[in-house]
Parts: sequence; structure tokens; C-alpha cells
Amino acid sequence: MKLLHIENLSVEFPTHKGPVTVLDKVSLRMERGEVLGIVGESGSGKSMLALAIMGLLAPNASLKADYLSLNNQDLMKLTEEQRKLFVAQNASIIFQEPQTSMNPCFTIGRQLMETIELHGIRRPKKQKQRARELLDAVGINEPELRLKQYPHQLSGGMNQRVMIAMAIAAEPKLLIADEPTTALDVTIQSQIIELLLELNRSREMGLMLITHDFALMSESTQRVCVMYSGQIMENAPTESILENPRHPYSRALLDSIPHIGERHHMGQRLYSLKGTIPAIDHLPVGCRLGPRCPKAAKECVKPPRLEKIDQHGLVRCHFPLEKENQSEGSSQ
Amino acid sequence: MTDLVLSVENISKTYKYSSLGFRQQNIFALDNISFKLRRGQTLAIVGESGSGKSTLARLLVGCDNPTTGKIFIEEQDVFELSKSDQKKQFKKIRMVFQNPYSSLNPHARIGTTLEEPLKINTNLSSHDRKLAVKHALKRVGLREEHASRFPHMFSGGQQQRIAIARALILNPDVIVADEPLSALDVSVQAQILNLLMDLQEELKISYVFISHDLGVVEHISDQVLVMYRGKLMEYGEVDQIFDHSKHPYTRKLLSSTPSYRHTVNYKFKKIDPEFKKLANLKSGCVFASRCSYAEEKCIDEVPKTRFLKGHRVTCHWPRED
Repeated sequence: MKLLHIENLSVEFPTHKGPVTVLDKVSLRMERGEVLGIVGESGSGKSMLALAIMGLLAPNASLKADYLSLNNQDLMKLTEEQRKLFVAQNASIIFQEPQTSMNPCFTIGRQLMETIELHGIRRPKKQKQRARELLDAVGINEPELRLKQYPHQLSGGMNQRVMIAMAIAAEPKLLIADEPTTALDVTIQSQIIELLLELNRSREMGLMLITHDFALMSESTQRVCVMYSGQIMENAPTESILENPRHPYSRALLDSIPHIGERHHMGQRLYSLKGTIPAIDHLPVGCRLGPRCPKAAKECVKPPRLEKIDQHGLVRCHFPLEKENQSEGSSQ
Repeated sequence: MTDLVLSVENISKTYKYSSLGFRQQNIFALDNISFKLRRGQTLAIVGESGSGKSTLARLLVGCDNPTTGKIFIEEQDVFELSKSDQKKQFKKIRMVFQNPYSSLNPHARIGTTLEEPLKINTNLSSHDRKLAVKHALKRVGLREEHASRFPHMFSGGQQQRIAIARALILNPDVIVADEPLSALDVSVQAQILNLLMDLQEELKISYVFISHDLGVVEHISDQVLVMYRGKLMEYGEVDQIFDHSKHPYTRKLLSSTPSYRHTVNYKFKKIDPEFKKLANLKSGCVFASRCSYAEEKCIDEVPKTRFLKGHRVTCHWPRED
């Protein structure tokens, strides 16, 4: 059973220089209960993908897709209103900064109950009970007290838990977590990720984890999509990507993180890609990684296609890296 | 020139705070922190938010004065000096901030921004200043003509390079970098990290590197100081901290970081909520309420910092295993 099935999803924004494509023919699938990671630098379109799935794009954006289905329902065939309702019942999203995603003027309880009401529980008493259950489910102690408090009275980690409580209020089949822990401390970060994974297991809820932190990704996800300037560069099982990334960009991302045990007095330097991600309206010709790629050659002026590599996954590169035996050449 | 560029002795910072006419309270932002930094070495300061890392940074660059304690710059106690001499001493310590964009003046050309510290602190002629700016830009991997541009014309990584150039321009002994990488993308982080390490090798600068990213800390530092709520928890050589950490808080940090979780393999017991409440009420060890090894003594008595095999630990029950 497919939870999410996207074929050739593109998002365009009109600008005074003409339309700009911020997502370019993205295709991906998620099974029920799967944990999918999406990695990439800022500006690679990770968040745009999440917003497109949720139908939260700005009104001037235009979305095109050959096929976009959530929970076996083709979203492109629904009207705007129907689509909103269907997505709200089947998917939720949590964002990076919990403090800014909540309304500072209302208590936690009121905001939580508002969400619960939208999902069909009318009686205030029942709403409150449900709110308490939800706070309990996300591991908040003294839920009775918390319901009366305002967002600024809770810590960042607590607020993120409340956000998660709101997100799971409708028992969604898909939860998109857009950098859920970037604004939090490491000790809190591990608690939040554990909570998300726990919910994923206990409720069979698909989890799309968007992050730029490869280490975080490595231990929680089953598959990883590496994105770069609006395109999927590599899509493969997490283990294969970590052990043997086939796209030079994935390799570079992995190598630019310090490895455990690599210490300063050994005089090592990290591998780093030259330059930065190109502006979306000034894309290079052909492969978008081209000017920064260590392996770039003449053919790279032709745009590469996302192609299948056996026993690995999909890779968008003219010269995919060879399978190596063990992490040779991982650092310069 | 001595080998010891910066040493800090028992530095504390208390802020007075009163809200809406309630009685004034003292907030202990920093409590008895000491460390020594040698030339060409890097001291990393780690801890969660609110642990006083940035307060420490502010004190080190002279933005603020400590309530008690001494700062020695090249073995000279700065608070014994006159105000103007103090300024001269603090000139040897420069700072790089977390968010490069907000730390650069958006209305000023890069050249002007870089020239300013020279105007204030030196008697160089305009021509010499311009030369120094060009030199500094080249050193951080930018081009001369960038001097006439504005900050918004650069990417985040380039802006951070400019901030580093500004710190370098007075030839400091120490650069205090407060989370210099956290606003940048991973591939750019690696570039800046490499630049910092190259500069250190070339110019023998010392860094006080404030970060919450333990991977980066392990990579760049010689010594590590772990802080929690303004107190020193553990301080020692990088090998000691990462391979033989003794403080439960350090262990907790290490095992919360995804890349270390499997390598360190520390066990934690669940904390009794009753004990947690008790620990929050009493003023013993600041970490007691979150510590899974805490015992009665921890909530009654403040632990002293002790020396254990070349490394300092503030704990009643330092871990041995």
C-alpha cells in the first residue's frame, strides 16, 4: 500500500524575469509506516516539497504533477476544498521553530482544542479529555497545568512536543517533520526524535524527516532522498547511501562532516565542495552540481537523468561513483 | 612573547534582575570558571543553551566586566591596568559571531567595515589601511575587489569569511568564535572550519571555539570545557573528554549526539520524578535533577571541582568505567 506517491511534481513561481522552477520533476514514493529522510543544503527545495504535499504553497505558486496521491487518493482530481480537507485528515506537518508556529496569545489548551474541534469532536469536555490524552502521548508531564499555560511559559522542547501533539490529533497517516530539532539543544533533540520514531512505530504513521544533519538521518530513517537545487540527486536505502553514496554530492555531504575520532592534532582537513548552492534563477547549464562537482566533465553540460543503479537506488549523475569496498578516499 | 596567551581565573558573572517590582534577584550567569589557553591551541566550550557560553565570550573580549575573577592576557592581569591599557590588551582578543549577516553593517561596504578597527586602534595611514584590508581579504580566500561591495552581495559562507577577516585585521592572539558555523550549510561549514584551521597553522592564533556540535569540537579542539548553567562541569584534553569522560553531563551530551551514541555506549538509569522535584528545590549540584547517577549528597551539597588524571571534574561521583 502506497502512502505517498508523487510523479514529476514541479512547482513554479512567477517572477518579473519569468517563471522560476523551484522543484523540478520530483518523484518519490513512501510506503505505509516508512521513515523517509530528505537531506540537502538550504535552498535545495526540501521545505518546498513538504509545503507542496501539504497544499500550503503561496497562492502565486503553480503546482504541476503527473500524479500525486496520498493514502491512495489522487489529490490532483479533488477540488481545492476537498483537497484541503483530505490532506488535513491524512497528513500533518511540524516546523523548525516551535515558538513561532504557535500563537502566543492563546493558551496551549485552547490551541490544541481548536485543532481537535476541526477534526470532529464537538463537546468541550471530550475535547479537553482528548487534549490531555494527546499531551500524555507526547510525554508531557502535568498535562492539566500545561493546558492552561501559554507557549512562552514552556521550553523549546516542550513546545515542540505540543506541536507534535497537535499534529497527531487527527491520527494522520503521514507526518512531515521539517527540521524538527534544529532550534533545540542536543539532549532535547534526541528526545524529540525518539518520540517521533515511537509514534511512527506505535501508530504506523509514515514519517518524512527533513533535515540537513546526516548523522541524525543515519539512525532514524530507512530511505534517504538527497536533494540539490530543486532536484532529487539520489534516492536509496539509508544504509547504501551511508556506506556507498553513488552521487558525488552525497559523497561530498558525507565527507564534509567531521568523522568520529578525527582530531585536530592529526592535522586533517575536511573535504569541502567549492562555492555554494546556485541561486534558483541562475542555474548552471546541464547538471546543477556541475560547477561545484569534483568529477565534472564535458558530458555534464547535458542535464543528467535520474537513473536506476542495481542494488542501490536512483542516482542523477552521468558518472556515478563506483562501488567501493570500504570507505577509501573518504577524506583528503 | 609567552606561550600562555590567555588565562582566566575563577571568573564569575552575576546579573541583577527584578521583575515588576519584586525583590531583586541575582542570576549567576557564570560561576568560578578557570582555564588556560596556549598559543596556537584551540579551547572548545560546549554546553546547552543557557549554560553561559556566550556570557563567557562577552567577558573574554571585554564587552562586559566579570563580577569577580581575573583575566590574564599574556600573563598580564587586565583589571590591574588603566582603562586605556586595558583596551590595548583586549585588542589582542577578537570575536567572530554566530550570524554573519547581522554582525556586518548592511550600509557599509566591506572595505569600510574592515578598515574600522584599524582606524580606531592604530595610527596607520589611509594607504596602509587599504593594503591591510586587501591582505586580510586574500587571507580568508576572498578577492581584493570584494572590498567595494556590500554585505548582502555575499553568501552566508563568504560573509562569515569577512567576519573572520575583520577579526584578523588587528593580528590578534586569540579569536573567540561564538557558534561560527551554526548559521551555515554543511558543505560551507567544512570550508570555514578548514579556513580556521589553516589560519591557525599559519598565524599561530589561538581559538576559543564555542559550539554545541560535538563532531566539530572533536575535530578542531585541543582542549574542551563543558559547561552547564554557568558552572564548569568538566575540563580537559580533547582525548580525555571524548574517550574517558568522567562527568555524567558530558556523557549525556555525547550519547545524545547521533554520531556518538553507538561509539560511547553509556548506560543511564531512569530518574525518579520525586527525586527530580527534590533536586529542583534544594541547591546542591546544578545537574542533580537531570543526572541519573545522583544521590542524596548531590542535592544537599555543591560539588567541588577536583583534579583527576589531568582533567578537572565538578562531580561528587565521577564515573570511572
